[in-house]
Amino acid sequence: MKALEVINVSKSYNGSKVLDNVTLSIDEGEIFGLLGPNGAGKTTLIEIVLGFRRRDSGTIKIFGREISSREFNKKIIGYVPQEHLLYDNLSGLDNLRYFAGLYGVKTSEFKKRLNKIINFLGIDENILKKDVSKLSGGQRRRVALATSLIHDPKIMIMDEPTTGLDPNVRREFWKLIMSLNEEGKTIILTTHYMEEADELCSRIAIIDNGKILSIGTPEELKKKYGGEESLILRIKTRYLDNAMELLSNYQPEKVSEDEIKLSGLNEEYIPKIRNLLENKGIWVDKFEVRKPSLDDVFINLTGRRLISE
Amino acid sequence: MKRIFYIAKYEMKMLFKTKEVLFWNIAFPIILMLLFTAIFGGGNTIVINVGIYDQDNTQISNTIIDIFNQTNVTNIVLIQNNETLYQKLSQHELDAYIIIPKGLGRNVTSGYQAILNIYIDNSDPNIADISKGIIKSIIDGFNNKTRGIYEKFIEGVGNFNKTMIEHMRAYAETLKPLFKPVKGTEKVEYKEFILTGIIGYGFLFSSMVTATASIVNERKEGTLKRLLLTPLKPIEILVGKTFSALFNTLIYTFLVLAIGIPLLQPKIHLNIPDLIIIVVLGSLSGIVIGLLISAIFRTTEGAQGFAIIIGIFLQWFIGIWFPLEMLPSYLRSLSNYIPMTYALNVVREILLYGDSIIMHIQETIYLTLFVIILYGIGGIILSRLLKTIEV
Ligand SMILES: Nc1ncnc2c1ncn2[C@@H]1O[C@H](COP(=O)(O)OP(=O)(O)O)[C@@H](O)[C@H]1O
Ligand SMILES: [Mg+2]
Repeated sequence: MKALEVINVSKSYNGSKVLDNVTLSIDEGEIFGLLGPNGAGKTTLIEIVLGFRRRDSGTIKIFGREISSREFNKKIIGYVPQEHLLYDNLSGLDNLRYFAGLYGVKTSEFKKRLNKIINFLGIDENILKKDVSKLSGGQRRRVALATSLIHDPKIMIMDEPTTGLDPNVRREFWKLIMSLNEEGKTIILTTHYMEEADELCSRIAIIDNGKILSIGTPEELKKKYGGEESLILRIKTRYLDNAMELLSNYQPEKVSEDEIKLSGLNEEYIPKIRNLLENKGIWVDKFEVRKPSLDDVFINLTGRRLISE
Repeated sequence: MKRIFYIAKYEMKMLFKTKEVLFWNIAFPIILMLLFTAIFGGGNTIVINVGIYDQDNTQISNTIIDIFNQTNVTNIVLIQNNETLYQKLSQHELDAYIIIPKGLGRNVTSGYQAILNIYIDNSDPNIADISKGIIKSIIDGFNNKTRGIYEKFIEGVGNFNKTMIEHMRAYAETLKPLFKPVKGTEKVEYKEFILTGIIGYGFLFSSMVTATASIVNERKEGTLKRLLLTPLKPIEILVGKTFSALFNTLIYTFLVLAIGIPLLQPKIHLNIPDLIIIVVLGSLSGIVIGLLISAIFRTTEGAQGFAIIIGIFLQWFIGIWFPLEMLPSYLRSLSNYIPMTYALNVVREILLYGDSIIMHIQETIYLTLFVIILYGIGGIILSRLLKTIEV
């Protein structure tokens, strides 16, 4: 079953195209990533799906049902926005109570769900008692996640769920998102982090300047656009020119003062090359196999690097 | 229905957690009220014209006239007959007049308390307040002197029986002033005027501006998006916001009375049920205007700014700070188009003159219709807004 279908959706602001004929479809149970730099149109696409913005043209279907241009997709969708969009001067618990109330969750049911959610998200009860404005970035994110889970939605849409978080907190969030997915929720997220898309998503759409450049699993994308694997050798600078000569059969490439790149080779070649160099008295300090990354995919698709800090 | 309750509840909770809101909505108007009373309600450098009509012509009545003559804040006009009294009154030459009735001297000398009828011209509430204060303090002075005599007498003579002492004590409070308005000038004092005016202030700020802010803030913070993703209907948002602004105004009104009554000691008729009805109507007319403003403006800053400007502007035209009769007639006709003018007027009629809401059924119906019609329009505009504006 398709959870979401976006067909030929376009959107312009003041004459400039922000979304250009976007088409993609997402299966139930996926973790689907929209990967692209800032300004690519990720938030615009998501908000069109949610009904906050009108589309100029195109069709959107949720679980097979066509959605009119300005229909808020209530109940089925949980939304974790880019900014937290909680009530800052209410406590986390009040935020949860409020939204649960608006969704018509009964008090007894609320307690059950709340316990489950805060255990699941690892939220301390004391944190819930504080005003949201007093929480740290990671804590707010968790509370925001909790409020979008309180009505038990089938699809979770998260706009840059880990932007601005510490790397370790980010990893914890990945685990959370994966376990939400194991619970049966379809997850759609946007990100401009390569590793996030790579490690978390079952499929990725690469978006740039409002256009979908390619869609596939991370492996498929890397195979198709990532280029070859390569072997990187670290060698003392004074031996570098010598080594380049000895390796001339492998089309060596000098990457830096003490690194040589051999494209198309993998770990199987390591003993052979080590022998070749050590016989001439050149020691390799380190071998590294570099696999193509989504970074390479993005460079090959756009000619630019996708910069993430 | 339950969802409306949730909106109202948490909206209120947020409102009362914001210190700025508490200040501007509650503390500020009360401070204004005290400030205005201090500026316009007091003052004692004025000489007042007091007419005294001595119908008694005894030594006691002459003493009373002497005492008034000796103070330099009163200008005594002796009146010989009713004709001169009415003439002077009709020309507003007297700020007050005192009638010393026949038999007062006899009452005082035989140890009975004597009542002095004092009539105050209330056409100018400030002057009336001053006149009353001055006359009261002069009479208190007279009573103090006689009490002094009485106490010396007790000391000097010693043992008296109980009834004798009671008799003497009555003599100590010789003159009891009874203040009455001069007929045809039954105007209120400024403190009562301002206390009720401050209730009307709530229609603009606790109601109208608060209602605008309640939508504007949701748009600004982006939380409106979250609300729209819940099963709420636009009309429920409208009603929920209305209830919270309405409760806010009722709490405000209650606080104004709870603080204003002990501080200003106004003479008012606390007809709570009728007061609540008219405050609800006045508040709702403010709220619905506020909600419309929040829906009409495309930018949040525009909406918020406009609501505040309208509030600041309207406060001079609905009769909060001074009687509308003081406005030039072309401005007064503007007041007639503002529903809150009617609401505040009925608030005054109820609190100051003891009217009931039934006596103002016309204004009540007018306000109710206004509220219903504007909510109709507001409902349509708001649901259209939610469909056309990118939140
Ligand atoms: N309301 C708007 N008005 C005009 N331009 C907008 C608006 N929203 C977004 N844009 C433009 O659309 C482009 C895509 O923005 P956005 O969807 O927020 O990108 P992303 O989420 O991928 O960073 C940007 O160039 C942005 O400036
Ligand atoms: Mg974005």
